[in-house]
Amino acid sequence: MDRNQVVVNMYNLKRYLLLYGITLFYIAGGYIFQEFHPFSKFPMYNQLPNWSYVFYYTDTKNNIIPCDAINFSGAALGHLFYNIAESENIKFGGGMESDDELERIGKQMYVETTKQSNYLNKVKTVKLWRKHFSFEGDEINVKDKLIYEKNNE
Amino acid sequence: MKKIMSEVWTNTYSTTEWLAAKISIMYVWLLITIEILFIYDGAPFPQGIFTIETIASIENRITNYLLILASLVFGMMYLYEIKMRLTTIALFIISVFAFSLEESNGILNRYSLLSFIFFAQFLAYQISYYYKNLDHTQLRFTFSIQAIAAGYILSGLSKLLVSGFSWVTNSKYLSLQIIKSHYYNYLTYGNPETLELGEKYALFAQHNSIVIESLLTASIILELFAWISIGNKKRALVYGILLMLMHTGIGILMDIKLVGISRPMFIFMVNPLFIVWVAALRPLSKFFKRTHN
Repeated sequence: MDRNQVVVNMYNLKRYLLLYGITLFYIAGGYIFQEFHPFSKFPMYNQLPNWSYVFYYTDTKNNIIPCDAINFSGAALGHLFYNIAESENIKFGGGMESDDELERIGKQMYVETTKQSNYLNKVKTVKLWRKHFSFEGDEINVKDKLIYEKNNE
Repeated sequence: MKKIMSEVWTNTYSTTEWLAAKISIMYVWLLITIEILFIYDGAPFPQGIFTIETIASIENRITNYLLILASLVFGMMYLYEIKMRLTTIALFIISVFAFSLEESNGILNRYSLLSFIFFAQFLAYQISYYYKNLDHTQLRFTFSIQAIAAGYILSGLSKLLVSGFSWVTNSKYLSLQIIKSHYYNYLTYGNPETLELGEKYALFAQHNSIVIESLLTASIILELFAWISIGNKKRALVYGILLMLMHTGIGILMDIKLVGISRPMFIFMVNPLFIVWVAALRPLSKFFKRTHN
């Protein structure tokens, strides 16, 4: 390879680095550092399993407490469940969690949600529920399960 | 229309386009960042930089208020194009701190791109500072688009590597995710209409598997081929519109907004504020000037 060829190759390398360098760097960062902000593998909905969960609080009369009232959102409550389960090394999904595991997660969820707002502490009996959706044949099956109960008397 | 196209459908980015993009991204970023720094105090589930003890130990109410102040100062410097190498890296650091703090409270809103584009812009200014023949007015846009494209490619790869083709063939189970997302909205605001809508869309997905499989295939192809948007302004504009259509579809069907991903993409690939400026705001301001004179 003569000197001119080397110069041309270096020029092309620089050109491609300017054109795709940031993309390659961010993709590599996603695989090396995984979910370490600002890196991520963006795994949103990368699986479509036969289950989904939502979580909600009810008051003494078993009425649903809107998350808005406790400075939270339905999605945030879901993320909180998964985050606590992961930090506690509890496997989750498809209703596989035991009653004991659910209670442990539920208790922590209550603690974290009451940090955002004192609303729940003023309710006499607060219940935290898990709603579990899954397909049974061609029908969507829905199961509600009480995972944590707190009496504030 | 011809006048609008002559300014939007070009090969290079103008300073007005950059200003419009900056105003838009700063509006999105400041609102989210300040809210996070106001709400959270402490990191009960350490994620990212909060797994480093030194970082976790400096987080408190006072630090957060100082960061809010710093966000406003650097936000203004960003808009006025002052000391951009310092400004973009400072915005990146504040962003990483704030969003890691939110993640460390168990909330995952996928704001990675919002942080990383400031780092990409820092690199654009830094590189053009050392290599004077490189034009920072183009690099700051193209580097941002590169970062955004990488986010979409990663998302597509994640689906392909984790689920393979079953991500498309398991379309029936998308109904469960649709119901979940609409339930999230219902549980947040207590509006039963969102629930009815969710059930309607879930039934549609369940009984129209060919339509859903086609949409899923189109979306994964769009994600995996996001590199097409790199290095050509016109391609980025067209690709940005296609991605926005995808996000609109996801928004309607699943009630998911993905603000941290869709907003930076729309701002840097399509730049809606610039289009509105050229098409409506500038003619309006000229009209008012003329009538006043």
